[in-house]
Amino acid sequence: MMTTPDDELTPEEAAAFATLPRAIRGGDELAEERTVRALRAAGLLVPSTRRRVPPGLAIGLGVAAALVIFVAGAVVGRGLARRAVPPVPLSPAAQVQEAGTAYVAALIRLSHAANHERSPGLEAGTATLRAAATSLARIDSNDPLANRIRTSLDAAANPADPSQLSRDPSIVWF
Amino acid sequence: MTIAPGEAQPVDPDSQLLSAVGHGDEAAFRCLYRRHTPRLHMLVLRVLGGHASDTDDVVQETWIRAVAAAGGFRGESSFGTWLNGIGVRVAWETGRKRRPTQFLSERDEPATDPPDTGERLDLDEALRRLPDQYRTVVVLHDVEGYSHDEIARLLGIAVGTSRSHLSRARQALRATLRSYERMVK
Repeated sequence: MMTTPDDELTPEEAAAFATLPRAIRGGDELAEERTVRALRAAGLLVPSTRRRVPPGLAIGLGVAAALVIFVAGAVVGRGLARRAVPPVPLSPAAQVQEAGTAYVAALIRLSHAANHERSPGLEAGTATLRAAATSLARIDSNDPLANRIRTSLDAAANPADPSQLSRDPSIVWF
Repeated sequence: MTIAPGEAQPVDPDSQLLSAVGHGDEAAFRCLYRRHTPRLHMLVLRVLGGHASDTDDVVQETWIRAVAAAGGFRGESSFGTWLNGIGVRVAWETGRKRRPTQFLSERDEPATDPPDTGERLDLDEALRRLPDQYRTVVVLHDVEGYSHDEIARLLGIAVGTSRSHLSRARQALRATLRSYERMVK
């Protein structure tokens, strides 16, 4: 629709429009707080004490943090691997038990060995057993079992002396 | 103003604040809010025909949309103009939802009923008496200084429709004010 000259504002009308207020103290602090709360609820604002990090920066920081954690983990892991773990000292009783287990296991393996390997093995085993009995007797000179083992082994090693065997006929060899 | 090469370009404080708001800066938002809400509030109040109860809601919704679209602000117009444009659209939508019967077709004529006896009639009151479509156009054109192209773009109407609404709105305003003058004499 075309406008006519009558549609144009007169100077008085234009002046009247020009005097209209362009601003008003809208609402109050409550309106501002309500708007801020709505923006927070929409995730568009965060309180000044908890500023939101720009998305690009957040990704960068995340990657950097992941790299730092990875590198730190690798360094710590390598350091731990290099560090020699000090052996936990065993108690004397545990050492005896561990050595005994190894001794018996070696004897079992000897029982499955070829005949030509058994003889030196038996000698070594017997010598060890005697040494062990001697050591036990040193610990407790009145230990009857240690003394009997030692006596029996001596007798076996010297069959010319039958008195050694007659002292204890109940010895069972194993 | 032309800026010589190498000369520091003045930075628009609103653009800086809006950029910070885009990153969730609440303090920057409060600063921006206090700078522009008085004018936005007045504009929305006029577009809504003085419906103060709706004005606060429209202003709030305007700010929410503006902050959500902060990244889309290109600085082609001032921030105030951009914000007011959003405010007008929200007010326009609100008016159409809440008072659909007042939105007239182009064939309808604005009412020019004289005011009740004893009622003070000024230009603002005469504007409030206009139908929403006419009032919106005359407020944007004659009060806020928008062009018909801008009004058409803002309201999603044809430029000719904007001109037509303005013409009818001015005629209705004159008729209302004349009838009031005759009555008080």
